[in-house]
Amino acid sequence: MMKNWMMICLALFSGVNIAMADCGNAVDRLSISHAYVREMPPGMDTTAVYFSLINKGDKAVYLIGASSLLSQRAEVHMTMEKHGMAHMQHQTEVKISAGQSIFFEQGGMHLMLIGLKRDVKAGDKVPVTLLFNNDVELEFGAEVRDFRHKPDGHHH
Amino acid sequence: MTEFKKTGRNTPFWVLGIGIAILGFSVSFAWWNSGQKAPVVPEKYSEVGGDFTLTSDHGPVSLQEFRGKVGAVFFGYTHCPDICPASLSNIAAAFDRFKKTEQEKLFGILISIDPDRDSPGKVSKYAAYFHSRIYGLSGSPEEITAVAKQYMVAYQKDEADAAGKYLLGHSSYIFIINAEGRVVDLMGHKASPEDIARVLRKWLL
Repeated sequence: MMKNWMMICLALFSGVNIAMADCGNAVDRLSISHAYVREMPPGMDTTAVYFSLINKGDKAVYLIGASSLLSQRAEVHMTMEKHGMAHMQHQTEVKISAGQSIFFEQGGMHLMLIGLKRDVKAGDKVPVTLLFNNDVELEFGAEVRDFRHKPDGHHH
Repeated sequence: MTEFKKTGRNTPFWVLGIGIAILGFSVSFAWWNSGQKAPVVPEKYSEVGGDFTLTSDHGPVSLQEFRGKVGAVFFGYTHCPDICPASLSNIAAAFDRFKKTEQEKLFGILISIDPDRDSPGKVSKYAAYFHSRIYGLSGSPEEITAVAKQYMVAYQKDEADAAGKYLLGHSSYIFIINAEGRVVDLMGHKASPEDIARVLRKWLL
């Protein structure tokens, strides 16, 4: 029960905010939860954002870009593993089918912030904007989290 | 006396049954127990490992210095956004599952496969952020190539972007090293802190 309340508070606190273009309701149908940014050692210029993205609508949407005020660039990457060798693959378009939830998580799909303008510390809030097809933008704040002691970013 | 004889005559069957069961159990337990202690390394990797000397921010560090301790060796780089920090966080969290006195018998080593950007100072500070018992090492490109070869670690620079930034593809195994300095287990980067702690504990005993 307590946990559920915490989840709800966290979701509210994450403050999913919509700045939108297409007067349509596409943004209302998209929601973000469990958004975290990985705290990195001081001086590092990249980090990753993890979150769940849900498309509650009845049409597929396409994630085609991302940005953050805190970094020069933001790119969706997928960690692929083959024969014990891991590679990052830049994803230029991610389809989220109607009713589908997509998990951005460690060792899988993640939003990479490249060229951090400053160190991010646990507790900080990082603004992130996702860009979808039809000029739909979704803004949210992701909390920086220290994964050393709670390394499991999973939530499902 | 007669009664004793009677029981004596009837018991052998079930006594024998129990005896066989106990024997069977002991044999399988011994087998299981020895299996638990045998290195768990895929055939292809049975020859990997061995000593090396690389450089930390405090000078040369050799694997030989960690004899008597059980460790986790990982190859990565400081610009790595996902797998390396995830693996190092998991190793750190695994260490935290041990008592302080036990932790003194554990070590972690991060070997940079990006020596062009990762100086010994940089990779040492990076590794120490995750845990004080994780040592970050770098070296000359030749030294890194040699150690990577010993451990059958493949790595490859991806194409650089306009700003000259690049990522690397690399083997993501965590090599578990026993007290004699041998590779005794290979864990994937998705291994949880519990998984890593369990394997470390097995070799610590």
